[in-house]
Amino acid sequence: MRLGFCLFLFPLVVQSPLGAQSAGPFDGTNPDSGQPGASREKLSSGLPELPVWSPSDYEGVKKGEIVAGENFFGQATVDPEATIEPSVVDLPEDVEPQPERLDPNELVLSSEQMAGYFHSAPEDPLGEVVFLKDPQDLLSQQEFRDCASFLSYHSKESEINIVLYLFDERQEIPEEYNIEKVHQLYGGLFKDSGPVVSVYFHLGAPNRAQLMMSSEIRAVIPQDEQERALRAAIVEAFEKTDEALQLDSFLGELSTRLYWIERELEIAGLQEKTAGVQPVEDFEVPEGSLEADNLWGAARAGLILLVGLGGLVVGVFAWRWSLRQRKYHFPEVDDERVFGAPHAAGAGAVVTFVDPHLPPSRQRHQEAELERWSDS
Amino acid sequence: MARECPHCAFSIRDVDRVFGQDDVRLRTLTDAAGVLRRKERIALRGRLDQFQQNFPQLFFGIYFGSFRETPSLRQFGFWLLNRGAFEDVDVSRPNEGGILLSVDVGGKSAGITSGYALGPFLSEDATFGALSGAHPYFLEGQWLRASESVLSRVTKVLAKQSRRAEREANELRAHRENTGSSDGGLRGLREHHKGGRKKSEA
Repeated sequence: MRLGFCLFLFPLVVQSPLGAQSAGPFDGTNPDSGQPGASREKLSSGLPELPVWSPSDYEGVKKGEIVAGENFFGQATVDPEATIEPSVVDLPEDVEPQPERLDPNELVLSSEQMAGYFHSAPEDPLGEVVFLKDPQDLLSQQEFRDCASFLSYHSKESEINIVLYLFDERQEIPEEYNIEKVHQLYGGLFKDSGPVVSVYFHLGAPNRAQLMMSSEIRAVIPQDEQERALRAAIVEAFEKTDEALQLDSFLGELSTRLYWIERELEIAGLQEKTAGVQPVEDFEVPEGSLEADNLWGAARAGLILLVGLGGLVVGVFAWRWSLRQRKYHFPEVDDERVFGAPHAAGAGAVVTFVDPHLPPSRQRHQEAELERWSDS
Repeated sequence: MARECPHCAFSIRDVDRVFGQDDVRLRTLTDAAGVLRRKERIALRGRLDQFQQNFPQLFFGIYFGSFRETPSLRQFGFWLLNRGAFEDVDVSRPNEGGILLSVDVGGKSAGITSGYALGPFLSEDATFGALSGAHPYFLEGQWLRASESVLSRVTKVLAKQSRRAEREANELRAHRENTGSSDGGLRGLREHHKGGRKKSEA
């Protein structure tokens, strides 16, 4: 059996390419002998012809001048002069149009344009004062009506009116029309309506908004609080992207802030004082006395607040202390002992807390026996 | 003393067979499950001491354990309040005046057991209300806040019940003085509690 197997394998080993390849180097000693026969075998096998040692290569290998496989496994050499063509094409330059550059002088509103804001207190067809000034028609008719309607509503609800002057985003206001001067010069247009807050609002640029309050308000409300109100309104406006909506938000927040300012005015009692007094447009408060009054008012309010707060804290502590010290007694009861238990009958509640989505009542653990315990 | 339930024949011997029939020594705050930090233990002990100051006849115990293999947390609470000897509770406060909050940390359940002296004043609904208030904290594993919540609610309920009991005792005393009746006493007082204030007025 073994002999038969060996006889079967012998021709295969002799004819295989491996056998031919392994014989290569040894045939190199006599390259001429047997080479045509081997080539014939390879051609007949259909495989590509194997490389053949030349005598000089063989000698070089023997002397160590040639190392087999050096070209494959040695370190790759880089041609220092080789160049790589750029694979990424430069992107085209940004084609976003540059903002239109206008002449700064063109942005400044002319005196004629500004005069349109201040010729008189405009009235609507129903005879009501319109607190919105938009002679440039920056708002659409609907937006104008909405905004004017809101300001009118505010004037009915509040003692402090808002007079709104609308400008475009990048328009500049001439120096002679800065808000302080305007307020002093033209605030009288609305003097019948009570204290006024003048507002310059640039559509699309809420951060450029300016605000000026009547002198009677300024006498009570500190400057930083006025600025806080303006900043809050600006922040609220930036919550929106649409220009008209920005204006809506701005006015909504300003109206809210003015409500609190109005409350402070009431507290200070200033309104009662000014109610029957002369018009306030020319009311000039000397700076020194104004600061002193502000300081005194703030100190007094702070003192009252501090005393009140202290009293409240002391009261809370005293109440808590009395609660902690209080002792509660129960009458002794002669309850019947059950289940042979000396101290407790054990009919208490049990709640599981496995499922956060179920209320405790659905996780209340009731046992059938418990009800019978209680009944018994 | 009824030795066993007339319906199911349950008695303390049944739970003694499960948990042991000997008394066990423990403190009012026992954290067998090891869920409380040191600061939390100190804070909770302070609250328990405060409870004892407010209620000279009562004490509140809290037990954190893990009872995955035991059948009922209610049975454990019942057994512990009957067999527990609380080291940090004065002898003038027997276990009848004890309230035990047992928390099964592994099995995620909590129960309240109270002694006989609190039977008329601390109903099962009241204890369920206390546990319900603490349910969110139990769900989040905030054991200190859960315990404080339960303790706070139980304190409020008991304070209210104490005031009511005092008021009704005064009314009862005045009624006895007016009518010259000598019967009543503890039994009458208990009947008033069960019937509530409206009933007594009627």
